Amino acid sequence: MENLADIVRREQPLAEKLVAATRAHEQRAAVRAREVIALATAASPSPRKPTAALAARRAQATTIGPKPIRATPFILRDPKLIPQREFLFGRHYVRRYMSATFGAGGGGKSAHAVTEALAMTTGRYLLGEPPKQPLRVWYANAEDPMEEIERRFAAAAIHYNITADQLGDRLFTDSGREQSFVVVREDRRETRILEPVVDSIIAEIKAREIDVLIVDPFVSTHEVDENDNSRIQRVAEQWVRVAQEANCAVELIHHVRKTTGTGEITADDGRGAGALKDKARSVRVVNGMSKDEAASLGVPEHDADLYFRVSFGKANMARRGGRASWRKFMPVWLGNGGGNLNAGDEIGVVTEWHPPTAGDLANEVPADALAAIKARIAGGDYRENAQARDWAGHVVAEVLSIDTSEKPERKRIERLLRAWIAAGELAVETRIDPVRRVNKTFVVVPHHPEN
Amino acid sequence: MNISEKSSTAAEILARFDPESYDDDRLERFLTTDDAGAGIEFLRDEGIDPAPVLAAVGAVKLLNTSNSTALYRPELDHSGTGVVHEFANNGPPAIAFPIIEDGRFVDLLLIGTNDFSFDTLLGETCWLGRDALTSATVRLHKHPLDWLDAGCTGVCHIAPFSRAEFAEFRGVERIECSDIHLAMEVLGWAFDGDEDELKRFFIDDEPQNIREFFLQEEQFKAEVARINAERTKPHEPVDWTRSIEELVRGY
Repeated sequence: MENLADIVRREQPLAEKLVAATRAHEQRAAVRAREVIALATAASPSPRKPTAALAARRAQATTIGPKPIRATPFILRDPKLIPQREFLFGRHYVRRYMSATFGAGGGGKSAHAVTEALAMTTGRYLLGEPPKQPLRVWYANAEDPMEEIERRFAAAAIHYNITADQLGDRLFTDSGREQSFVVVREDRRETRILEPVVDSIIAEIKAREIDVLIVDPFVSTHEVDENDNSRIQRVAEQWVRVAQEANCAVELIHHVRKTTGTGEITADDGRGAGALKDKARSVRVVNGMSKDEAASLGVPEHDADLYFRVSFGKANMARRGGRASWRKFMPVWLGNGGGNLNAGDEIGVVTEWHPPTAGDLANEVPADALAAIKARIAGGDYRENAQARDWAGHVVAEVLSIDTSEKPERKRIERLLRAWIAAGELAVETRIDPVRRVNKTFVVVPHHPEN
Repeated sequence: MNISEKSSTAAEILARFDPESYDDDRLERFLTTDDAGAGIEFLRDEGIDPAPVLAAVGAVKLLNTSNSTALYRPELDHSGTGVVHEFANNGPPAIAFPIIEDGRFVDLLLIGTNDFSFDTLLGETCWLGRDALTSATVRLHKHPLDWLDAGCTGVCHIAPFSRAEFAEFRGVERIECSDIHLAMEVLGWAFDGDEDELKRFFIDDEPQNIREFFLQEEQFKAEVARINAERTKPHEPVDWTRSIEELVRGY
């Protein structure tokens, strides 16, 4: 066993010498190559005399140097002449901007990105409004092996009946296990931007004319302390630079810090420093369906894991307060099990899901139960206010055996009452409270001629 | 977590652990699984003496797991390696054993028997053998199987995505390690790369690995220096007296 100080003293100079020798060898080879070119050039015909235009350019060329910084006067011009922001998909993917999606593990961020990539590539209506035209998308998953990426896209293609023709040559997928997407690295005391990697990504996006780059997950694109704001800012800056220089939208998928599992995830819950959120023009958050939401939306509690919603956690360019979009995992079997009895890998594919409306919930109540509710309400004075002791909802609860001590269940009853009122099965009437002698609203059964 | 008697043996700690006190039924599954010695058999196959392991952790069991990445759940991927081990009725087997810290049963470590990937069940700790970090001399193991092989002595860092915990080495006077890369990471993260702290580290890695490590480091430094030099190089004025062919060659 040897002391590390001794090892460093012995090995470091040796390594330095080896690398320097290699470099010197390369330099000698480069000098030799230049000499060969010079000899070949000497044998070539003499150059043409410069024309007047060339002479002018020459004069200009000799002044090339560092560009001085200038303050540019602002000119107010017709707004119609200003280029419109180029929203590529929804209000989240914007050309020349970096966006991010935050979510807890298992929340479906990656699977969601896969379906979004297919929606953008095919131009089909898979999740929300399709893009104006099919886009060229590069999905770079820095963690999963290539075959896992292939499984996910294949499963989504099966579910949505997407053919190779629909994809064309517009989809690109890569795994970080085969090529590194690390753009910033920390090496002891230095934070190094891996310029060759960044330049290479930009060059590839330009060469392939890619519109959208999805990088999943952000944490795999750097090797710096993720809690250090200035370092994470440098990482985020590289992706902003990619979006800007390559003229594409960059989407970063990011994990959130560990939560207790009960709280709502917000854009402030991203793992590590907050600089990523601050650099992104749009941040979405992915939240799983809570027990309360499952109950009020009529989803069995044991199925709640299959549902999640995507909402804007920070949107510099989209209207605030937008409604969340619900998504649902649909299991898809790839059929790669090699036999009739083995369906092969099961993959969760993200689909759009619309929560049942109050009318949908009301339609699930049997006609005889509704008749019983109406008969009971017609026979008494039942208030519309859910806080009232004689709330009409208690009648509904009794007939349908619903426990009103649970808040989600009370919400469900409120939605049922609203649906029946909207459908004309019940009505609201303002009249004098027989006890307190003040105006109150009551739920009543309307008097139709046929009743 | 209901046990906090440091003097208890691992088996006693395990026997008295009440899984009901922790809101996760996977621990109960581990405790109630009848392993019939398969975990011990795995250790023997790997050339690991089971006796000191059992004394240190109380039990080693072989369980079926599911490490499907179909619905990959990063919150369960405590190691950050992209592999999640969950108990399941079918799937690749993994050995599981309790992680005990300060006389308490804090988590389970699972090691896949097919690829030796590992992860904690609950993400409650980043270490195997964390108690050893209070010693003057500590051996740092690269992989949990190395830690088991050493009779559960020394420490093993089991959360590769995070290195902040390396700061816990600051109180250790002598750090022994058989992996030069890991040792240098500890130097960087625990001691801010301070060369004066090199003397704390004692390495018994293969000479070839050590040489390769330093060579790669130097190559990386040289590459960064070359790129930075190119980026900061001022534009040279174009010499228009040269022929077009020369200009093309020059670029």
